[in-house]
Amino acid sequence: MDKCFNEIKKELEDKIPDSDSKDFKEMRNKIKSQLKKKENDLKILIRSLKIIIFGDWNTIDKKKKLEDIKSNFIKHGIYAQTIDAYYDITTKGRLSPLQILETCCRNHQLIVFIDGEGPGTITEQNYLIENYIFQKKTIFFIKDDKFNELKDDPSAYIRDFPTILTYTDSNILDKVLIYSKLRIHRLAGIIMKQTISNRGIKSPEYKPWKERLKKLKK
Amino acid sequence: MLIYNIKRKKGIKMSEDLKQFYYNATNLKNIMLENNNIDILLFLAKYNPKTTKDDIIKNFGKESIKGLKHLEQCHLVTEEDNKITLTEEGIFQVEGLLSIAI
Repeated sequence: MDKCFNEIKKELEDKIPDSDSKDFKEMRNKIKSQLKKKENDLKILIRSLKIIIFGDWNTIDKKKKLEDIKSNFIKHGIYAQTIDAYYDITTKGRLSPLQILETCCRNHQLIVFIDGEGPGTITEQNYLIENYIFQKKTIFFIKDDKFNELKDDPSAYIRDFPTILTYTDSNILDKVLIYSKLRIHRLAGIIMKQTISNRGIKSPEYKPWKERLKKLKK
Repeated sequence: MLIYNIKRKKGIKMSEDLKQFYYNATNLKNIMLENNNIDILLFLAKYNPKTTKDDIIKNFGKESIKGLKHLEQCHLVTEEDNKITLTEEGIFQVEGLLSIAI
């Protein structure tokens, strides 16, 4: 299990009383009554939405950067994973890299892409460029100075990402969190509206991601 | 599951994974409120990974198995060799429950 979740689990073990105690029942009742309130619907929904973080993880420092971004999301109530979680072939049944990419892009509601030069990141980048239906749910983060070098070149690869945000080393955590949080909240709001209005996935016009991807490949 | 667009007379197949996500996302609250599911989640957060299915039945009754199945469908718990474990998503959601109640 991921280190972040191990820490959260330990905290939960301390906070939750013994199951045969009066305090346990009180905690359960409090949770139940709060959960019934409409104002908490959005909070629960937001916690069920998932972010996948793509970027270089081929050195210790680069891997740490992605993990810091992930931990920051989790600390602020947003579920996030880095792609290396999917490369644990002992638990994930030996999916090919392409299958992993497709699984990640389909199953996560937001793709946070940190620009990089590692071969894995280039593969992910090319995959998103080719399968442009996923670009709508991608936020592309690139270092300020690199963006300034590329911005006047319309053939540069960055043009393929509709949402580009620049960062510096000192503000990357805040920037990634702020903009991703806004997108997640927006999506949660849309899901809630569609639940009420019977649109979106409930509409007979709706085409699932798998279908759209198939059409793209033809 | 096939949904027919009456105007186009065309069948659109819903992908199971996305249908499941939508169902889970919009029904998560209802599933958590069902039966003893909150108790189960708190119990697992407290004692897991030392929890078996028999422990759940012993503490919450046989009817809790249905709730356990729903929690599994939402990827909050997983069962392997009679052991019931909270997933990372499950841990995350329990943390959320505590934050709204405390």
